[in-house]
Amino acid sequence: MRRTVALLIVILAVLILGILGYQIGHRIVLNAEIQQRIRTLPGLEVFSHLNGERFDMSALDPHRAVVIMHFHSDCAFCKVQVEDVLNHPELIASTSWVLISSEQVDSLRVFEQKNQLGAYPFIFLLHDDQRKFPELFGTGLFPVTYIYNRNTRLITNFRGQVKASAIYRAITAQDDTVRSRSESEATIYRRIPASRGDIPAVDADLAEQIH
Amino acid sequence: MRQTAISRITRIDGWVLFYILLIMYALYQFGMNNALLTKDFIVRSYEELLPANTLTGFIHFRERFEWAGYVIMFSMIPIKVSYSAICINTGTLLAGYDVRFTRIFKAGLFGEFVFLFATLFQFAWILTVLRPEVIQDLEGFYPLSLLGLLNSESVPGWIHLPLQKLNLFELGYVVVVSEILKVYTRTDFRKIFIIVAISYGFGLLLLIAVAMFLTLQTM
Repeated sequence: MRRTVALLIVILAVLILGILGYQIGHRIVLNAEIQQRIRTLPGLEVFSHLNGERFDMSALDPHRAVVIMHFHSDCAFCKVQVEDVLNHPELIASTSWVLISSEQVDSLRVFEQKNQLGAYPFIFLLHDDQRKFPELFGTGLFPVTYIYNRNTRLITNFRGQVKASAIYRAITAQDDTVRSRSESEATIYRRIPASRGDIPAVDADLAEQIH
Repeated sequence: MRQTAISRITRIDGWVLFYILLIMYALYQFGMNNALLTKDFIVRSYEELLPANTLTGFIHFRERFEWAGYVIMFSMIPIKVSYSAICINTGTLLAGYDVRFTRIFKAGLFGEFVFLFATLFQFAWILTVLRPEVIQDLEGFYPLSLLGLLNSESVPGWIHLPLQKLNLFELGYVVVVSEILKVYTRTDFRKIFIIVAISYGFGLLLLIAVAMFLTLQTM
């Protein structure tokens, strides 16, 4: 009797392992595809402006870094991060910001009004009507921030709220590291945690430049 | 001579083992919270990343729920040992050995001392050798594991957990449990080691698969 129970447990365990194994394999392949795709700035035409027009990538200034932030106007952390960014003039001056949210256009308009986003030529507030963001970037979290340099290469990303100064440091440290790597920059780099190894930080970029 | 020494060890009451584990882990948790993860340490780790309000909120949250850490730790020990014991019991049943579950559970408790030693050793190492200034300094610290041999940044995130779990301490656990069960089953070490290794290993594999699945879902 007890032996039968043991046998049943083993069969059940093998079944679960099989199902999990398949799901894991599938997910790994999917994630690898996503990582490959977002290594360089992906096309953002699936998102639209609040007036319904699709986003045109040529609106981005080629001399500016691009920061993509997925957010929701009800999320306190998102609000604090956006306010923090708007209070950081150097960051605003050196980047194009793409704020993407899947909430209703009406609440986005309210958000735009409240923060006077229309006054900034390089801050774009986009609506994700088809919920394409998770498909494109592999996560539906908010706030999540992806930072691309002027060469449309991904520098790093931040899951969760992050200070505007940390974003700024990521961008400027990157500019300098491409030319030379000094001890202090390496320290700044260490303090900014790249995501868990799956999206390579600048090192990969640097390596490619050298080769 | 070794045989009788181990037999004597197996006579220690299971509850004594449990309480010793509990007390030692409680001391470790206390040490962690007050010697390593101090308020200053946390502030230093996150002040460049998080705005002040969020950081203060986070610290308050940690302080308010410090007790929860102890509760979780106390409940993890019986849960973990039960899971191991069920796995190993399945193995012994299928292999034809007749060992009482309570004895396997006790063997598991003995094995937990390996992990306790590992935890305390790592803690002491962190405090004396690593001496981290911020929490990010602790990344990549996986002693005696396969992951520790590789550069953790060059390895994709989802493979971290399985490689971390393939370490010498897990092997030590299997050895200790096998030694104890050897006394109860009166067979030679090799046979019981294979049974424990396979059944516990399989149970561990299942846990790792579940953890990986969950990690990948949120990535």
